[in-house]
Amino acid sequence: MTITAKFFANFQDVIGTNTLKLSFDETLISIADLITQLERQHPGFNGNLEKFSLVAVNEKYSHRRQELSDGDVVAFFPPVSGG
Amino acid sequence: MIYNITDRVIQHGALLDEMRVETSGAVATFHGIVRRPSRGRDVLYLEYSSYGSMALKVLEQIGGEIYQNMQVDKVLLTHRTGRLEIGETTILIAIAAPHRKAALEGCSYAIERIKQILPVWKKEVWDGGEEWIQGA
Repeated sequence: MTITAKFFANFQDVIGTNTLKLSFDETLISIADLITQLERQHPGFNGNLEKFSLVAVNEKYSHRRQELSDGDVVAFFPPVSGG
Repeated sequence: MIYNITDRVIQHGALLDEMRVETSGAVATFHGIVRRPSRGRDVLYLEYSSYGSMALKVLEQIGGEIYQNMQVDKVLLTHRTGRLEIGETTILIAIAAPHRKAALEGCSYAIERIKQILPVWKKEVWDGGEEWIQGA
C-alpha cells in the first residue's frame, strides 16, 4: 500500500521536504509503526516525531493506534503556534 | 460566516463592514499583531506556515462550535501566512451577535481554540537567528 506523509515546521526542516510517498508490503500499518520507521530512516528527528508530533490523517486529527489504509495522507507536525 | 487562510494583508475595514448585519447589536473583534519584543529578543519579522487545506477545515469546525453553542449571527475567522512585519495583523476574529455577551465570549472562545488546534506555525526571525515556536 502507498501512504503520503506530510511534514510541517521544524519536522519539514529535518527531512528537507514537506511530502514523502511511502510504499509498504504490509496491508496493515499503524501510525505508531510509521513513526518508528520514519525515526529509523531519518535520525535527524532525534525522537521528536515519537515524543512531540501531532498527527492528522486525511486532514483530521488522529492518534497513534490508528491503522492506515492505502492512499491515506498522514501529516506530522509540532504543537501549533498560530494566533 | 467568513473563513480564510491567506498570504495577503488582512483588509480589516472591508471585512468588518461585512459583519454589520441587521440582527446584530454587537460586533466583538480580536486582532493579533506582530510585536517586536519576544522571549527577551527583538524580533525582525515572523513567518507563518500552515497546513492550508486542513487549517481551513479547522476554522470551519471552530466556527461551527461557536454557532452551535452561542447566540451569534456571524463569525469571521481569518489567519495570515507568509512573512509578516512588525505591526502587521496575524489574525482577525470578529463575532457579530444580538448582544455583547455572546459576541465577546465567541471572540474569546475562537482565539483559544485557534491556539489549541489550528495547524499553523510561527517562526520568529531575529538578528542572527530564527526559531520555530511550538505550542505558543
